[in-house]
Amino acid sequence: MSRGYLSLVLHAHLPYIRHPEHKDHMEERWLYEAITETYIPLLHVYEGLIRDGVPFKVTMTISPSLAAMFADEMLQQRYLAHIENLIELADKEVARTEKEHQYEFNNLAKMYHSRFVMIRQTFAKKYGCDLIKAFRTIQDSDNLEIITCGATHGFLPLMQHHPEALRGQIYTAVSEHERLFGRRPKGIWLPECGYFPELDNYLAEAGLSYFLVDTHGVEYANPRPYKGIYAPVVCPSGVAVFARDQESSKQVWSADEGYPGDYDYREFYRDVGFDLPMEQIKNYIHPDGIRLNTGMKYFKITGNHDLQYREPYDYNQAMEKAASHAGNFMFNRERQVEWLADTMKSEPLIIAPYDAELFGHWWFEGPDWLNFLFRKVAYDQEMFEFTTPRHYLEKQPDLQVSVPSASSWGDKGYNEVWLNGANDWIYMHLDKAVERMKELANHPGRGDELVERVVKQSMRELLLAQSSDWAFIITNDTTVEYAIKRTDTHLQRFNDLYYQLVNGSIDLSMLADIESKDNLFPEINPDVFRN
Amino acid sequence: MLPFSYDEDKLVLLPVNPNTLFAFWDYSTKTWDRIAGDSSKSPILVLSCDANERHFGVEPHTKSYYFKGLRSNNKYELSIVYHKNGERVTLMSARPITTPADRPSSNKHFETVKFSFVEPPKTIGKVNLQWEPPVEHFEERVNGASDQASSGQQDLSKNLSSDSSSGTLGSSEMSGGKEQKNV
Repeated sequence: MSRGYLSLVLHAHLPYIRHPEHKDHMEERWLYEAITETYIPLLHVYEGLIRDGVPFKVTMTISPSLAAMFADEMLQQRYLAHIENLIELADKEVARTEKEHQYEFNNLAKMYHSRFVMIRQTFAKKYGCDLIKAFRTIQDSDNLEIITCGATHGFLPLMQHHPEALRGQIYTAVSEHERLFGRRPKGIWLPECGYFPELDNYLAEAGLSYFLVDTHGVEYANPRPYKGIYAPVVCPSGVAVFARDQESSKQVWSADEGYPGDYDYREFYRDVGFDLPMEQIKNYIHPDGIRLNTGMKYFKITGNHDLQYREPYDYNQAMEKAASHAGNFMFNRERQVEWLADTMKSEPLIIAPYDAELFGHWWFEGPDWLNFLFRKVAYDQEMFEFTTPRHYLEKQPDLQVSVPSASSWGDKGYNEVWLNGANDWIYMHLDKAVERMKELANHPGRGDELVERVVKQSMRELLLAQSSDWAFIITNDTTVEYAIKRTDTHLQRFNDLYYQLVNGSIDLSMLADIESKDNLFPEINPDVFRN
Repeated sequence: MLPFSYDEDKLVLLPVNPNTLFAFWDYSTKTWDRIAGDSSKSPILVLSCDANERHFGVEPHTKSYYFKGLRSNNKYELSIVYHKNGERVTLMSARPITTPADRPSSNKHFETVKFSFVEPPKTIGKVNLQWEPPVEHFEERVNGASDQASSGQQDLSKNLSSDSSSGTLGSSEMSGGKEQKNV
């Protein structure tokens, strides 16, 4: 008889990046890398567990922007070409490493080749290039609970003065989720876990029953939750809220203490895209000769030395370490549940949320770790069992009424990642665009086919400009130029459409052009901006 | 290129963390003409919490400000004012914002409810999701739309003229289509 619950929540999200105007766009590769390294490996884990009859429960966000990319035919075809190209590279690497007697690398090249072939098989043959269908299939087994997110991952605390903007993100997400996944989501992953008091009213309005916040969102809730973060509380709106457990997060997430930093695991920053001579790699990097990660990596982390000193990666050794780390994680949760159950005199619920892309993309062995964990928990212990927030709530528990505190899971726990001296210029323009969107939604011409096209496309542009990813990238000083360009482009497109409609002169070729580029959310409903 | 100003009076206050708020604002040409070039009318930010006020003088061309060292979990109000003949004139006010909490609540009130799932919505805000938008004003142009589609540019002004003058969308900025304000 278990004494408590563990709920793993994997947040899968990428901003909407689709550039039909470029044959090989650098940032479009984010999706291709994540499909190869995270999404399909996770599907393989779930499929294996179901095949073997292993009981498991996991929750995944698939953000609406990611789901829209999964469903996009052009991106599907481009991914297919991408994986074909990787298979070709792996094939050549098998031959090269054999010819050059690099036997340690040769084994790895064969491993990559076999993985890539299997991934292509899953993507193209098994699911017809449709990853929505793939995740729906797992969802139908009732082991996987898929929840939604903000439509384009807009950071909601900075929209709190615009109810229509909140509705635009939330309602669009819910309706798109239902359209693609065939059922209305019960829960939502708030973008960046960004919450402010009263946001739950808008979630309730959209028919959502629960959301997740960072630890202090519930720790500082009012009134003080008497079970701490180890039981959900319910807002006055009736929406339940679950809080992240720091202890289980840190073991996986922490760069210093977390499992992914183990010296036996694969080194992310040594990739043949950078290591091989240009002549050998030129067909597998950017056509302009820009080196990039291919996903073929031959070294392990090894230690804290210079990145150039890395020892060959030993896949079997890494798998043993992943199994050992899964056992360690399970042991720690057992002790945690035991202690909490004794202290609380009730069954604790531990919420362990992670970015899905940590598993596989950043931490190559992550999906295998999950696989080991699910199997060990099913057969090697009885202290706790996996659940999802929905399954937990279906037992109709008595929950304490409390209002969570404003919070996020960003650095320092509040809003400064998305609002600081580097990116604060965005908000004046977003604010104006929201006001203009309200005007467009109330436009007297609504109902006319062409006006509807303009108003809907305007809303798409606004939602895309609101993606928290752009402000995040600017703060983290990574692909800043791209993030600024995306913000500018969507706001400019929005303003152009706005003026065209208001001035009564619509540029049809421009409208068709941006409809074909920013083509997400085909059933978008601007009525949520009406007042 | 995004405009420097949208030619409107607006003041927005946003939370950054328990001790910091961010404000941005914009001036209409009319307001700008009132305050620019007259140092006695220099704008002052007035941040108030309970009955306490703090004043921050800013240069006229400044358009944003970070308020630091504030109290967590407190409601703040912000206005931009100037003084005229010793009297305070409020130019604009922001929607109040409460700074986030940074510690557990002292409120130990305890109440539980049996959880039940939220029902699917029939409306969002004031909007019935089954709402059908009116089409009667646009029948004429709808009928002609397909003929003009290939021209690449469609003139809606004939159909929109009566609506534009109704005030729904009729600001000078919109009809002029020019956002850049010279300051």
